[in-house]
Amino acid sequence: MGPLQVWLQRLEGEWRYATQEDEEDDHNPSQRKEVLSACSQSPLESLTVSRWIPPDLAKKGALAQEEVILKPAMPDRPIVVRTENHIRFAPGASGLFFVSMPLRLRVLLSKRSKDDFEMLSVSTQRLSNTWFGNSDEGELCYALKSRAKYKIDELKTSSYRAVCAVHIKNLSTEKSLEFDRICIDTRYMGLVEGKNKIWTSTISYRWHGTREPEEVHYRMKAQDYDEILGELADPLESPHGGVIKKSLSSLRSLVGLGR
Amino acid sequence: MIDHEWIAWFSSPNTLRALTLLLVGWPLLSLLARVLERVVKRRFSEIAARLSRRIFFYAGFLMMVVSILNQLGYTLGALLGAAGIVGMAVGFASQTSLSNIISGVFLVTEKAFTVGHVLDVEGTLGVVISIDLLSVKLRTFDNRLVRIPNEHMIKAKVTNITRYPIRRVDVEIGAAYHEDPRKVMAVLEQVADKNLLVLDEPRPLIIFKNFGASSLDFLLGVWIVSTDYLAVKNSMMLEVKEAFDREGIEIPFPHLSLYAGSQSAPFAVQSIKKAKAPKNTNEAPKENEAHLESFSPEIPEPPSSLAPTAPRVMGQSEDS
Repeated sequence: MGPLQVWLQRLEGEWRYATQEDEEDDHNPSQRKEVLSACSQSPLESLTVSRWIPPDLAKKGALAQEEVILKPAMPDRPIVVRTENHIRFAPGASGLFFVSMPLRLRVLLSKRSKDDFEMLSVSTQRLSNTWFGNSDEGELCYALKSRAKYKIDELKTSSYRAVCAVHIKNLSTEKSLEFDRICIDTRYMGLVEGKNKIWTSTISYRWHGTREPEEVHYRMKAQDYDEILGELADPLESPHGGVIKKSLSSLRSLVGLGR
Repeated sequence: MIDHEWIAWFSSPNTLRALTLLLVGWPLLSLLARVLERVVKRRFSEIAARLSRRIFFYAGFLMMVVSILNQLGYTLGALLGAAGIVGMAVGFASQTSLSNIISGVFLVTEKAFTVGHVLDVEGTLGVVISIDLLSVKLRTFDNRLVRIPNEHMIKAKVTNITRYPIRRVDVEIGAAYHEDPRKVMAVLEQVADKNLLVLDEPRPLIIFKNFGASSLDFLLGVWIVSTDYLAVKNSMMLEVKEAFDREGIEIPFPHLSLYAGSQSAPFAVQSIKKAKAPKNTNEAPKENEAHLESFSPEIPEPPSSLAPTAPRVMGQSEDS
């Protein structure tokens, strides 16, 4: 799927799996998405093969009841995406941005009428680390090489990426809002399948000025942009009202020049 | 038969007061010590909490014992006098230990480091495994235990390597003088961008540091999560070398050129081996001559202006 290849092998008493990620160009994401049920291509010897022992293995007929399910999931860390240019919102101004982010692939073992067991959870694309905050404190995030776009058509999407709509509004009456990076907290975001793309929850940032914290709201509003076919994943945590968090930053404040 | 004197003694007001002090005082002291420990733990650290609890409990226990003895009618004057003298003697003898204890209190309240941090204490690098009453204990990365007295810790320069969540890894690189510095900096930037463990923000630092004795000196500083230090240090060195090899950028080794003034070409350096004494003294040492010739490169004639003072190269005879 995309740059990710996953090998799964069922042996007596265990499952074995291996993963490989190819290099990916964010500006031309891979459109590959296929499942080969009987693959003659073995994992490369250079790959690490892991073994997984599922529960209830010893039960008679266990193999016949097993079903492997592939599900998408949000990245396991917040995502930081840069805007195309340094942005400055005048008081009262607002804007809409679209971000394309690679998803994680969850491989689950399903037993009929029982709970699913997660065998493997891996990112479809290896992302670079980045730090959102200052050198004293902050949060470890993933960095996207692609940029946040104003128009959905400008986004390069593919089968393993989801689109996130980010609505930013400057509610201050005096101050301008300046930023060039957006941090997206993936814990509060669900996934839905649209007719054309996979969508995440829509994020709404409201900035009240420097003296008050920002408000961040997470709501599923993908139906505003696409025809929704079904839910794919629930958020890991439910946001309580508006999550108050510093989610926008500029390079100037990061290096302390803006203080 | 019951001794009426004992009964009278036990039921006397002073004895009852002493028993009350013991039976109520001890549990109350323990309770207060635990409350103090919880309060201090919330505000400071677990180590400070344990230390405070012990000091409070022992001080309170001592006061309780003195009060009980006082109630029972024992004169403590002589005892306190003797304790004072003993205290002075103990104080002199244990001034280092006391200094360590007091230094330990300051270390804990200062919060410069805590258990789990990696410290560099004047060249000793290790993980803090405990901060005790008298000393701090480090476990070095080659699995040795280092005990550093608290007094020494207060006085020493201590570097806390993992105090902050991110840190910068600096790699110093030299490129040959004939290389284009802008190209070198561009290659270093690409190497930093490609390494997934290197943080995109803060941006890597690339500085053209110096015109060195043998090379153009650059500094590549990349920001990482503190726990990724070893992995990134190794990978950056390897990736820089691979990138330089790919781009044809030379990393020079230190070298010197000797000149006798600005008008001359550099001197060639001749390697000389001590000649073996020939068996027949009348014979020229052919073997050694051949040895010198093979090592001796052609030595250019010095400019005429310098001819009278041209230095002799080792191995050249006066006649050549």
